[in-house]
Amino acid sequence: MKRMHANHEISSYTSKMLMDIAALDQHAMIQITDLQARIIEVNDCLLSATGFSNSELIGQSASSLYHDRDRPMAFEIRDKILAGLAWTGEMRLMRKDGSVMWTQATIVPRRDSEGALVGAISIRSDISESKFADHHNDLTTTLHKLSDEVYMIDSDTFSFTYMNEAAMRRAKTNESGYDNWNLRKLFSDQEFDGFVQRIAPLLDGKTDQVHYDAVLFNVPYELRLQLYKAPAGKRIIVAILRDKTEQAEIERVRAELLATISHELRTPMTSIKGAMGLLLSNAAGELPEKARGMLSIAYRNADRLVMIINDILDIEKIAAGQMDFDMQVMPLVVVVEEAIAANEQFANRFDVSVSLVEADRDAAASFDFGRTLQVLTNLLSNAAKFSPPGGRVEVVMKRVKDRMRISVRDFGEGIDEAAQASIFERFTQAASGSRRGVASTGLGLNIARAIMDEQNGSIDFVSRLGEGSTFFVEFPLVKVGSIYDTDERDGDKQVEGA
Amino acid sequence: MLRLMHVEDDEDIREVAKMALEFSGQFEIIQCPSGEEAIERAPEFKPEVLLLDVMMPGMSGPTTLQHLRKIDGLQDTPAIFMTARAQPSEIEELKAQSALTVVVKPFDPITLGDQIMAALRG
Repeated sequence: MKRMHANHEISSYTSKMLMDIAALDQHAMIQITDLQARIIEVNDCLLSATGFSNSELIGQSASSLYHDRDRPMAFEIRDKILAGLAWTGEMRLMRKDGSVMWTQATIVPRRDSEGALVGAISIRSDISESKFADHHNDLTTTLHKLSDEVYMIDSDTFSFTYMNEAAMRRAKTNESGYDNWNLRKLFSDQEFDGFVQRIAPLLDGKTDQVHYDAVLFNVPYELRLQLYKAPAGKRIIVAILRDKTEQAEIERVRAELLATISHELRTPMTSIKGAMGLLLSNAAGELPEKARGMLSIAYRNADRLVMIINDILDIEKIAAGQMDFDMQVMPLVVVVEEAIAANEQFANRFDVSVSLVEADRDAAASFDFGRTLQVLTNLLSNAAKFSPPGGRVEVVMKRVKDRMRISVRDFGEGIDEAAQASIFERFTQAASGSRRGVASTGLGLNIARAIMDEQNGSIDFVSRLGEGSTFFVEFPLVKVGSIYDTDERDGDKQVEGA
Repeated sequence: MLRLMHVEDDEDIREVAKMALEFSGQFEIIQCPSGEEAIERAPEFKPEVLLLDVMMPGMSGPTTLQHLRKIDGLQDTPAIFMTARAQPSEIEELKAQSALTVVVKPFDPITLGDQIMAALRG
C-alpha cells in the first residue's frame, strides 16, 4: 500500500515537472550546448525569436549568436559552468536579419547520470521591449529640455511616440495628450505626401539625415530628420524643428539696414562727387591750377570712398547670403569683351593697353553676368594699375579639362612671396599699389573670390617678382545646344554712373 | 532741346543734376522736389523725358510715374529712374515698371546727359 502511494507521488511529481518544462518551452528560449559550448539542441521558441532554422544552429558555437560587444561574456560564462555554477545576466543576441535582441539569460551546468559535467543549458527571455523603453527614457530625458521642438514618430504607423516640452508647448498638449495623434491626421494629404517623400532616403538608408526648410502650421521651420533604430527593431523618425521666425526677422532687418546704409551713404556722395566733377570739368568756369590740383585729390578720394561703401556693402551681402546671383548659361566671351571695353578708359589713364589675345567663342558656362563683370573688372583694373606706363595687359581664354580659364596677365613688378599668401584676404594690397595714387580698398580680390565661389568657379594667380602677375578665374563648362542672343543681352544693360 | 522733367527731393542733387544736364546742352529742364509737384506741373510742361528719383518722402518715384502715366500725352513718355539702391533685383524691379533704364547713384555728372540720350536711342 505504501509502495503504491509512493509510485503515485512520483508519477504526480513527474507529471508536474513535465508540465513545467512544457510551459517553459512555450515561453522561454532554451538552448543546450556540449562541453565545447557547441549547440546541440534548441527549442522552437529560440528558432522563432532568432529567425534561424534548426540546421543553421546545430553544431555552431553558442557565442556565434552573441552580439559583437557581448562576445567577451562567453569566457565568463565558461568559467562559471566549469566551476559548476550558474550564470545569470543580460545579453544581446543577433537575429538572422541582423537586428539585435536583448535577452535575460540563465545558464546552468548540465551533468550526466553520473554527475559529470557534459555542457550547459541556457534559458532566455526576450527583454527588448523593456530595454527599448529604458533606452528611450534616457534619450528623452536629454531631449526634453531642448529649446528646439523634438518629435518622435513611428516610421511604420506615423503615430507620435514622443514630444519634448517645446513641442508640447507648440502643440498645446501634455504628455498624455498626444497618445492617439498621427501625422496622417495632422497633415493635409499634400503635406503628408511631401513628408513621406522627404523621409524616403532615410528609410532606404541612402542618407542618415534630411534637412530642409518648410512652413508648417504657418510657422517657418528649419527641419532636421534622422532615423533612430531602436533596440527592439523599431524605426523612429526623430524630427527636430527650429522656429525660424526670429531668424527670418533678423535677416529682414539686416537686409533693410543694408539698403538704408546704401541709400543714406550714396545720396550725399552723389552731391559731393557730382559737384566736384562739374568743377573739374570747368562747368563753373576755369579753375586756377592749384585749386584744380587740390580738387583732384578730393575727387579721387571721394571716388575711393564710394568704392569702399560699395565693397563693404558687397562683403555684408555675401556674409548674410543676400547677394543676388542671376545664373544664366551663356558664352563667356561676351562678358570678357564687355569687361575689356568697360575698362579701356581706366587703362588709358595709366597708358596701358588691354588686348584679348586668345578668345574661345564657343565656351559657355552658367554665371551671373553683372557679378562676373565685377570680378573681371577688378582683375583688369588691378593689372592696369600695376603695369608700367606704356605696358600691356593680355587676356587669354583657354580650356583646362572641363573648365574655361580666363587669365589676365600684366608685366608689372609682380607680387613678392610674403604678400602672396594673403592676397585674397580683406584689406590686402600689394605694396606698390598706392605708389601710383590709385584708389583701392583692399577688398576687391576678397569679394572676387566670394563671387567665384558662389558661381561654382574659382580664382587664383601666379606671380614672380620682376616678371608680373597672372590672375585667372575658372568656370565649369556647360554644353549647350543653342546659346543666347548677344544683341538681346546688350539691350538689357543698365546705365550706370561712373 | 528735349524737355526733361527731373523729380528729386534732395536739393543738392537737384542742383548738381541741373548743372550736369545744362552742361550737356541737350535738355530744357524743369525740376520738382516731389512727386505731387511733378504731377501738378507736368500737363503744362509736357515733358518728353522723365528723370525720377526712386526713394522720396511722400510719393515715391514709381508711384509718381504711375500717376504721370494717367496724364494725357505722358502714357508713353520715356522714364528713367535714379536710385542709390543698386541691388540687381531692385534694378530689375524698377525696369519692370515701364522705365527705360535705371541710373545708379552716385552718377557721373559729366556723362549724365549722354547716358540719357543713349538710353533714349535704345
